[in-house]
Amino acid sequence: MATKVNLHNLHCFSEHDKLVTLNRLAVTNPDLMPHQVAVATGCDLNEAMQVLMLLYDMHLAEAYTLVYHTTHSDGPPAEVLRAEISAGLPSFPLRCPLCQEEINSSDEVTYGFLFVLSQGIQFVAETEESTTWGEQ
Amino acid sequence: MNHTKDRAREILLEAVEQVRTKFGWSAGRIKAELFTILPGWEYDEYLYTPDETLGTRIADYKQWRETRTGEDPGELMEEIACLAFRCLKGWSSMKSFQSYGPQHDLVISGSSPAWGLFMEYLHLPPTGRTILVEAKNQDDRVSDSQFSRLCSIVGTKYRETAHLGVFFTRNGASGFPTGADPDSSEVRQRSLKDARATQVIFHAATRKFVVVLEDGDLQRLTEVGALPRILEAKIRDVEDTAGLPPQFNENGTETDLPPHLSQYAQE
Repeated sequence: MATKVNLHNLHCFSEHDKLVTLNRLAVTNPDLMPHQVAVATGCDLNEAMQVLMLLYDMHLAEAYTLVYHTTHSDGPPAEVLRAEISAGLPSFPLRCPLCQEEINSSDEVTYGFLFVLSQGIQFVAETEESTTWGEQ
Repeated sequence: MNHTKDRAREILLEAVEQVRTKFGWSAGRIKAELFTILPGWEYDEYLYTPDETLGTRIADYKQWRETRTGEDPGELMEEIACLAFRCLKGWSSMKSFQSYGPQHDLVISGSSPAWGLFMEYLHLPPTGRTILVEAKNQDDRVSDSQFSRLCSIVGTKYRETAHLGVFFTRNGASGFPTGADPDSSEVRQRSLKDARATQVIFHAATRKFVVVLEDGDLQRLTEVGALPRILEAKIRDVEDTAGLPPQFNENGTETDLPPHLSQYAQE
């Protein structure tokens, strides 16, 4: 059974359609990144991150920091590290697993976030005055 | 979508602030991990970025300290305090006034999510959203009576909303340990007296804090992250009462260990 997550405090998701889209996204993508949520629902990146961090706070998702090597000598940025978000910023030096170059500072990398849902979720927007249920 | 370090930190910490404000630490996982997450993401650097004006006035302060000319010493110290708090994220109100009661050099308040998380970082209760600041650029150390006056204002007039008072001084306050060599057992205070005793007794009675920034602290205010880092250490020191001022190394970490232990903390 899906766990209900009430987003009534996030203004963006007071719109029924956005809530429905968010629920569909969570069903089809157990791995979610903030920009995916933002693009799919039309909320901004900060609101998307708030939804995902709320899931983390409720033990409904694990949260990871992704570190990419941007000055990768061969092709697009390569993921060099995936660490739990609570571990904080990475310590340098790191070594790129693809090009084997040593990475010595944050100037040579970019960061992203990944949330892995650990169970079924049903997003709702329930207030005392009104109830809006998102379809799943 | 990938981000620079600063932007990633901003996205994450703003989300932490909002979850705290809007959902009240819904299930408490972030709350439980807060003091792992905040230092890990260099929260103090996110909170405080000194600007050029502050750097200029601190340079002026250093020059004034040598020549003792060209500045009103009291106003210079008030400006440094004002500029430093201005560089702190999340404040919404900064006042300096005299009403029916005593004059306040600075009364700084915030109601934003960023300010609320800052209060939590300082170990202050969520209701304490006001910080009182007193600037004292005097040759003597702040006396017990001067210290007690700020304690009284924090404890009475601002009883419900303030849990922190901050002195900006050149020479510290009476009875406080000085910044001498921490390896020397002779400099470690083993007794409480004067303003230092008042600080500890006031905290024991009210759970509120009044802390003192002095010359070395003022000069560090040009470093990114310095003000919250110093305030947090000074607040913790009220309960530690270690007998030495908080000491930071070049990495911003703080140690107070005998030689056989300090070797491990430096690794």
